[in-house]
Amino acid sequence: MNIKEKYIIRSSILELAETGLPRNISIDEKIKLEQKHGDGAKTQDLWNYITALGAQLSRPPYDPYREIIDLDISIGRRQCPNKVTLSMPLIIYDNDAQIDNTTLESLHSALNRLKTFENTNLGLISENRIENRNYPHFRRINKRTKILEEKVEYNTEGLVFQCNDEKSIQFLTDIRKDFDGPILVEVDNTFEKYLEPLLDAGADGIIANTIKIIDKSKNKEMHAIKVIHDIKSAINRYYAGKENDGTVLIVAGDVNNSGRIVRAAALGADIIGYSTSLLIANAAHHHEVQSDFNAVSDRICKHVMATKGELKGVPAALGYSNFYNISSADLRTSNIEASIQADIAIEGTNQTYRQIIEDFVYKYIAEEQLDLNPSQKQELVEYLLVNR
Amino acid sequence: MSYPKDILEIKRNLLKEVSSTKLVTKSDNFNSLYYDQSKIILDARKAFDGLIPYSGLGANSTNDYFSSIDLVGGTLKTDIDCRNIDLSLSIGGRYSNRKITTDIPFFVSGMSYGSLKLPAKIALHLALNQLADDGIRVIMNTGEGGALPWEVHDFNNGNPNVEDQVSRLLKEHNLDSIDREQLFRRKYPLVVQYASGRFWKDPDYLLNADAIEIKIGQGAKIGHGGLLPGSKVTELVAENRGIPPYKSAHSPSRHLDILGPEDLVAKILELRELTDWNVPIIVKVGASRVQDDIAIILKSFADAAAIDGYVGGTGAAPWEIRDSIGVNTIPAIRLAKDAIDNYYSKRDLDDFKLIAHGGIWDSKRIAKCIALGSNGVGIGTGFLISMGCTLVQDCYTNTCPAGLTGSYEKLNIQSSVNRIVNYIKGTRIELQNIVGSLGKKRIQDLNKADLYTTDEISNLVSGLSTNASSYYNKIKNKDLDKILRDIPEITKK
Amino acid sequence: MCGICGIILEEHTDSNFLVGELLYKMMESQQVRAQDSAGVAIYNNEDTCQSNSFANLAYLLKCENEYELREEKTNTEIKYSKESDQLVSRLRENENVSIMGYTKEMKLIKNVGLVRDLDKKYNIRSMNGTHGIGHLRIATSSNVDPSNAHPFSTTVMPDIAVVHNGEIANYSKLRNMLEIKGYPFYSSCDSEVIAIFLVDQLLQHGDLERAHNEFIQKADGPFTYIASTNRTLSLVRDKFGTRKGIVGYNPGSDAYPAFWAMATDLSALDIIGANKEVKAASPGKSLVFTIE
Repeated sequence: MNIKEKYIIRSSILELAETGLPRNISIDEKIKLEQKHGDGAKTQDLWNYITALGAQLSRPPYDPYREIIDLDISIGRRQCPNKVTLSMPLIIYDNDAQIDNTTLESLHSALNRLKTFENTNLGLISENRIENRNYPHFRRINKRTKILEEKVEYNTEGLVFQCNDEKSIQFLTDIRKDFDGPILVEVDNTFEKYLEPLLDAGADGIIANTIKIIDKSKNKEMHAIKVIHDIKSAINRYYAGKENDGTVLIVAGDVNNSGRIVRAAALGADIIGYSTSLLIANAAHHHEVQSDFNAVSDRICKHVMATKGELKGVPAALGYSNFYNISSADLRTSNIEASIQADIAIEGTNQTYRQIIEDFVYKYIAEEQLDLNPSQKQELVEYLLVNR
Repeated sequence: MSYPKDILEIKRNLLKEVSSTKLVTKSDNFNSLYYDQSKIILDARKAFDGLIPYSGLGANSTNDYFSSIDLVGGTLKTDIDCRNIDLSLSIGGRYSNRKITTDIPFFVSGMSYGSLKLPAKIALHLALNQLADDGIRVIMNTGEGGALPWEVHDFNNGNPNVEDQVSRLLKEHNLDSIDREQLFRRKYPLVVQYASGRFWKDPDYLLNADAIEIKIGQGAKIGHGGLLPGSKVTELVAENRGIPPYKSAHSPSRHLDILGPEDLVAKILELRELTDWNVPIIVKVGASRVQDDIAIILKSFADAAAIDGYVGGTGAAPWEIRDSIGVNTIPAIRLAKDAIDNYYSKRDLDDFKLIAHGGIWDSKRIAKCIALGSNGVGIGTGFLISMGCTLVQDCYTNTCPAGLTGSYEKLNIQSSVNRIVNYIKGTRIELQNIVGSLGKKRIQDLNKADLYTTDEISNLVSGLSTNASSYYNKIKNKDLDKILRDIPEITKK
Repeated sequence: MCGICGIILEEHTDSNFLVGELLYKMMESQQVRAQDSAGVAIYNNEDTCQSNSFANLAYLLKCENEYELREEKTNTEIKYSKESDQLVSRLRENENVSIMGYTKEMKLIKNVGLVRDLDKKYNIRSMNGTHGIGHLRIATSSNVDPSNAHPFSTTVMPDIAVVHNGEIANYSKLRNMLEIKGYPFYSSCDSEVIAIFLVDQLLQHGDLERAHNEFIQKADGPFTYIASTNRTLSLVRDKFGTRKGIVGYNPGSDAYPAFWAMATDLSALDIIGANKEVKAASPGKSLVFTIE
């Protein structure tokens, strides 16, 4: 309901309320005219077309104010001795750029404050760090060479580095030997190729920056939901036949409010990389007293605590006492594109668009008595999906 | 006064920055990438007070399908005489001894005293009384905040507490001029809500009602209990609900004694015994897992089910819960209808009724919902708009610019009554014209055959058509060989 | 969400104890809770096939809108594993077949309708044994048909059966996890995931109590379930204790041995005299009864 629609609804009802006589044209027809003559296409952000199914009679909702909703998550696979536990599925993500010192300081102060006063453990990914911290820090390494036999003091809870070539895998194998905390690897659009060797080499988590992956990929129609869905499927394929021993998927970029965090988590993300840019910009950066770390970090704390409240409220309303139990079976979409990209069922049905088309193709083949092999059937399905 | 000053300042700065920043490229992704404009204020609010942001009215749905589904014919104005078209609806009779009947298939959905201020409640009450005098009975739902004295008591009830409460209520809003005896004469059927908060003071609430609605949830905050922010819990509202004043009222998110189907059955039987199996019982759920929920309601001893779609309004709801959870009204009706058809494929039809809420504002939409399978619809926001609501969605504060949900502005009761009466009468005439010009005698005769859709997604969600023919054409128009590039020859048996 | 009950001898003195009769009485008294479908699993180790490798594959066959219980005896050695064996895959080719699971000492009987109808068709009251479980279903999510009726069993491990009251909210997540691991699912009911989850845990470490605790940790939503194996019966409640589950003891007499019984409603315990030492299972805990 945008401003124009609001105006149409209001004027139309008021017309009726003033006169009590039948109108010439109904609200829907007016909206339709507006869509035809107005600016036309709405901005297509697929996030907005996705909703979740709440709990009502068939499953009771939990109460976020009176019952405990679990948000804790630990980073580190089975073999990792020093796991890191976060109190909510958020990690502050540096967006691959160096955080300037002012920002770092206010973040540092906010995270310390959250841990001390709110008992909320939030992670920070950055290249530089400030001492005297009581929150987990994930250090970003840009230089991906390591001299063998040289002992490096990492002095951090976790490591983060970018993987886009074979060298990175060798590097991971090398540092895995003398670092006992979680190692997170940021992948780009080549993740299909490197995911398996990375997990074999002992990566504890995969970071996917959706914006960067979309920028690099050829498919410009691709949306963040597809990136999340694809990487999660790739991780599931790696674990086929065995149990996932704790690999986490961290999604950053384009996930910047609680509603999107929930949707991304349902699609398969375990932790969301909250970009500092967003957090700072919205909460503090534009505040007049920029240099006042106290005021800025106070704003960040408040913002995070409000977000935490929301992240407890939504799973409770969906009937879960644990945030990480939300799955894509809980999602419905009102947009065909979203359904195709992330295999989300269309609302009013329990089927994804792909399944609907597959059903049609099987029926079509049976009716026309065509003799097609499975790959040809698949071809036909793809044809219909592409030529919508 | 709606936001603290420095938040407005932040918002202004942010907008300036966003529009001037060099990051703005031609990339379509930009909007989603950096800022969703409407969400900026949310982040600022969170950073300002550290509380979960609330909002009023319904979710900002991106697509509610109403404009792409249309009736085959049916006009708002027609030359045919349609005054005899039957619009009536009765609820009850499946298990209850009595029925409630209404002359129009739409009614005032639950808006409580507390979420609405007293003048708005009185305007609705007086308007429905006036309509009843004109021979149009309209059902009113109390909402979950308990009933006002004149809704459930007689004028000469002999209870000094009630009289005292009435005079204090009227005095607060300087409404002493209202004729008490007129006020106490309720002529329309009243549905009372039995919600998880259990806000009522005396048994008359349940005993004097014409029907009881068990509210499991509502479309704006599915899976979340009712919510009334502290600023709106004035002393009189608190007294009416039996809660401490000026503290936010968070209802439990579920009935503490309804955790599953058998509990619902037990609860309905309890209410049935309390009311001697007389009054109809409606179960209202927010639209999510509609098929499962309606199947459960059908198996319990309920007379009717009500579903509240994603766009359904509210006085206050956490923003993200309102926007993240729910299914739109059209697919919800479709799913409910499927469940009902499935249930009655195995047994004889009885008087089970389906009521739809959420984003239904005028006669065309009512007709569409009824054609799709619901028996009646509930309207809330429509009545507020006719009283002057400006859709600013600040219902969770005490600062409604129209004086409906906040007490800072004064509402003109007499003109509001006239507008509500006009709105209902006008909609009634329009509905009769629509039904008449479609060649039907009764509005309940409308069915799916009277609807058509104009796009693919509406077909899918409403189940009106399978889209098969359009897919068929796509394949037919192309050479199959070209589609299947890999294998050039198609062998046709 | 439904009515569940279970019964087990305190000591293994009599393998011809009238389990069927008592289960029937308990289910009859809880019938008001649920009327969609009914089912029982009764264990009797008298006439077990002696060899370890032989078992029965129980399945449902749909003929003309009616489901019939069938059993196929295996005559080759069956290796219980995640991958479906020849017998299962052969039966699954028929779309009218829905697999229930492998049984050795267990009789698995279920159908739509009331427990009275179940008795009329399969004469469950005459079935004797050492322990057994019963279930009455009112459907919440999946369809009402015999393949979605309880108890649920598996083809991975014989003689495990689960009846469940409530809902596993994160069913799709758990099922997805187990499917990635390679376990087969034969129904669309959320309760099946309990049986498979327990089997998965038992294959890993063999400790039933630990398996239950693991499930309580992993599962979400309101549930109480009774799980039975060929030697045990256990009652498990979720960590919020949102569904009922009570246990009672009958000290026995000259005519019959002492036994424990568990059910959703107290009336079910009263009707068979198991109203001594009545207690509710504590939330988030499991109660395991073993018969030696």
